[in-house]
Amino acid sequence: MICSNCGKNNATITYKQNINGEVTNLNLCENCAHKLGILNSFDDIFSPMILDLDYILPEEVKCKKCGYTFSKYKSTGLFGCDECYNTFKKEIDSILPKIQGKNRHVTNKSLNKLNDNKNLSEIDKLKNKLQQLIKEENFEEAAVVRDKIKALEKKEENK
Amino acid sequence: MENYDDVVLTTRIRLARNVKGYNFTNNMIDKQKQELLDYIKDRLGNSYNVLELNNMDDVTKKSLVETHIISKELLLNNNTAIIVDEKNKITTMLNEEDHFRIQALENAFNIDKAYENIKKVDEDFSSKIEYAYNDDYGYITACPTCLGTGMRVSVMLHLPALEKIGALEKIFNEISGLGIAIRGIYGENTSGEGSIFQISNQKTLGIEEEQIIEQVKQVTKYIVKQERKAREIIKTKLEVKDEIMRSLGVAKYSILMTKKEAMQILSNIRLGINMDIISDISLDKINNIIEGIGINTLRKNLKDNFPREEENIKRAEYIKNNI
Repeated sequence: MICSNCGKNNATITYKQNINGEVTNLNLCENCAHKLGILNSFDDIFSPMILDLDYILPEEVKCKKCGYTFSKYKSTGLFGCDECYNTFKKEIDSILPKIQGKNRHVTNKSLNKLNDNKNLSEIDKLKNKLQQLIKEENFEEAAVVRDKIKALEKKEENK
Repeated sequence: MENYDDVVLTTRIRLARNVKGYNFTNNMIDKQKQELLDYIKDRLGNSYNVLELNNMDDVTKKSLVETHIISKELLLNNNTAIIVDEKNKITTMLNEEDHFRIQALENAFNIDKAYENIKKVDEDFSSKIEYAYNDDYGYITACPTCLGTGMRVSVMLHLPALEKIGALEKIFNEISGLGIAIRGIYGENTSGEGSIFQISNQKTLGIEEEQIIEQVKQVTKYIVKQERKAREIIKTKLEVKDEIMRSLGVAKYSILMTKKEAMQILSNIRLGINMDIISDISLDKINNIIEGIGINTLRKNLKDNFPREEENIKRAEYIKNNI
């Protein structure tokens, strides 16, 4: 195991710290353990709060272009630059369905492909039907289909 | 296309765009925002007139908000600008939440015209400036609620009869879940002052521009149909006729008028015109009066920077003189 602090030497010491119930395991080499003051005395071991935690704990992922973090998006609702959409792609793909219903852009071409697909899920089939009913101004039936979709989506969520 | 101006006041299409390589507005300091403005000015050349808001007086700026030409959010930022294209009825806000917020505004339900105009301007901008775009997410925007097409289509609706018969909530419930949002006239978290409501598409990603337009069209037509039905129901009621004629009296003879009261009075008069109860005032005239009752729009149109205490006097005068 490689030391999680310097990333070079073999880790020979496992340091378990418990801060307000949050347990973190640190695998350190002897050098780093000394440097961080862990091996200095028993006092230090029993008072881990004096450690410079920012120095040891892994930092939150930052957009390499603008420095934005995903927490910053969560608190402001906005990203920092276009590169954020690559940096946080995984997170973005998982929040988009809640915000937009989908997580991919469509153009004329890609949409036609989608409509040709015979293996649509039950929900997607109903969604297509809903669009059609709205087009026909058949709002009474559309409301019924909408409720079906809602019920199915709830079922999916609870799975 | 059928005329919907008895119910539809205005139609607006908005496109959100950002310039590739620049941080979003919320992540730029003032100096960087100014650099972006200068870059845009340089790229667009002489064909567009970029007006920086830093150089504009307060009354003019606030009047632009009152008449829905710009958003109130634009005034919160420094180093913002607008590009006005009067021929195509397009106003573009620069350095709002996104670098570009292109907006087409049309009277009544001229949604196709608005779309045609905004596409022209958008294509012209994109031939001069590279937008932030990728195949997965379409146009990249600061907020993920605008991703994809970056397109928001909104229609301002006058629904006094549905409100009077208490059917608004039912209608709004029916259309929620069809991907359409409803709010009052000054955008999010505002109520329907003067029975005016705005509907717009919620989703911008995973749906084509043409589909969004179609969706808003269909829902608008449905609401218009319901509002007309409601007007038929209340048409014969003396109480309604009385309320409308009293409103006309207030408009003609008041000395003081708050904005809230003005909205209510003018809304009743507009309904009266559309139900053939009032015949000597045109729809255009009443629409123009409604547009002009904000304090800063009054100041601007009267060319009189009157103090706030005189607001209600000036408004009553303005309505009396124009009705």
